[in-house]
Amino acid sequence: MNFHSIFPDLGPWIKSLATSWPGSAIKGSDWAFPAIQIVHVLALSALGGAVLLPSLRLMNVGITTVSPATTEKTVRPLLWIALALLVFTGLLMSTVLGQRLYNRPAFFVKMVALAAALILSFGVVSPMAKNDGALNNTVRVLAGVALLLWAFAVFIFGTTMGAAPGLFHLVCAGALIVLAAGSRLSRIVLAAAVAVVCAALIATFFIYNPLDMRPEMMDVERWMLRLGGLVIAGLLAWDFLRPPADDKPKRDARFVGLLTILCWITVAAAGRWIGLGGDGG
Amino acid sequence: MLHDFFNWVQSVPGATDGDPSTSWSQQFAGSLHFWSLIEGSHVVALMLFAGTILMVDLRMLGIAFRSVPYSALNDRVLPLTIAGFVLVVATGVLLFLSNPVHYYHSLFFRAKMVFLVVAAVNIFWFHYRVQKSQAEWDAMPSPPAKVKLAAAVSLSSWVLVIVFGRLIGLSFFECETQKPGSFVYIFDECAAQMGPPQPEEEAPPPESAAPQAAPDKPATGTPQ
Repeated sequence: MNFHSIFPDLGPWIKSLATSWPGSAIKGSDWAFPAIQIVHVLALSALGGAVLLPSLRLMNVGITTVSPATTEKTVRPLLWIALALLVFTGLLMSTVLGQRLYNRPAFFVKMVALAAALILSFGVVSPMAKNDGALNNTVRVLAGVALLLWAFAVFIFGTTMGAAPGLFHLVCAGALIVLAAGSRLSRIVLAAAVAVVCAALIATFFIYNPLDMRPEMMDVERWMLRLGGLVIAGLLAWDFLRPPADDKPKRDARFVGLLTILCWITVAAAGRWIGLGGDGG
Repeated sequence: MLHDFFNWVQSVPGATDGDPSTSWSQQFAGSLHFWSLIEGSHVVALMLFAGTILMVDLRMLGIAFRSVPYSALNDRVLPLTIAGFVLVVATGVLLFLSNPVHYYHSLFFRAKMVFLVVAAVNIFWFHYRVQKSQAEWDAMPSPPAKVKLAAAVSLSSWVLVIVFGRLIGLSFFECETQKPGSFVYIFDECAAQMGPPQPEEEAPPPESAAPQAAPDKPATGTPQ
């Protein structure tokens, strides 16, 4: 799925963006596009810190000596600045890359995940942090909407030809979260799963020659990623959705923190796979 | 010397029947998705690494988390930064190995390494000098100038590392386009990549119209 399949009539307008200002000016310069991309990557790095710290705090990981409210309030200006820069540079890049963005499923995934991530950061994490991790009904509905949007984005991410490998980053991020914040049992299962994946990958190279058996390699890669994703999802669900040992608000906060991090990772990973992946369908 | 070593890395290990295009390095560079996955991971891991460094640097500059003691923030954030660093370095080394000769002679790659060294020296200076008096400034909302200086050097060097990292992908200032004797030609050690200069009076043979590696060296692979 991509924006071309949803809005087929926009094609001529998208095409005209590259020939009208500012797209034409950016295209005419050797340095403008890389400079815009550099600002985009720097803002993405800043966003990483601004998203991670309050989300991890809700999960009771990281700066636990500082209250969730203080953490969220301190990083909020940085989040706004990073987002403003990302949107501004993103729009400038889209005037040059319009046609590619229009056709690539990775961009569609990025936009759906971005909507979910914005709802989570501003509509869920922010009020939850102010209430010391408690969730009211409005926030619960917003979190539900974000969860559905993100699940939809991940489904498209993992099932379209031009974007699917990018799911690897999300699976790795999930594995790292299990490693950092999971239970002892989850970590043992994770280590076993990683060992199985490594062994299977090495075995694959003895069966298929990656240089001339690409379709077979792609099948192996796709299914290993999907199975790996399911294992990680299971471990995360086990660690973050289990009936709470202590109190329910803590479980809600942990889950929202996890979801917010995964959502922003999806935005970043899909963004990178606009350039790395193909058009697909 | 390093040129010869990277040339060997790029063309010999894993090569079958002496064919450099089948070496591990070149198979990785031309792989179906492996290179892309490593490159994507390098960028995504930056969010963890640079994002957490930024937070600690802003605290040291007296801009963010002013009411939180430096140690309370750093002790909890540092493990995240280290995890990010391990990921960024591991993926970065792998990416380098996909085309080592090209990167070794790249102006932007060398500039990136220079600022990596600056960042590393700053970390050691901060750890062995500035942190000795940490008890005095730990809880200060606005730490003393030496702490702010360390944060400013850290922030600017990591920003420059990212900037030059992005520029590596551009084909500007490549050895093939540089005049022998120019600053870039010398700084990038282009002589090692380009081989001995051809006499200007002689008409070049038709196949050497495009710049090539030294005749006894294998091709340097496709730039990313």
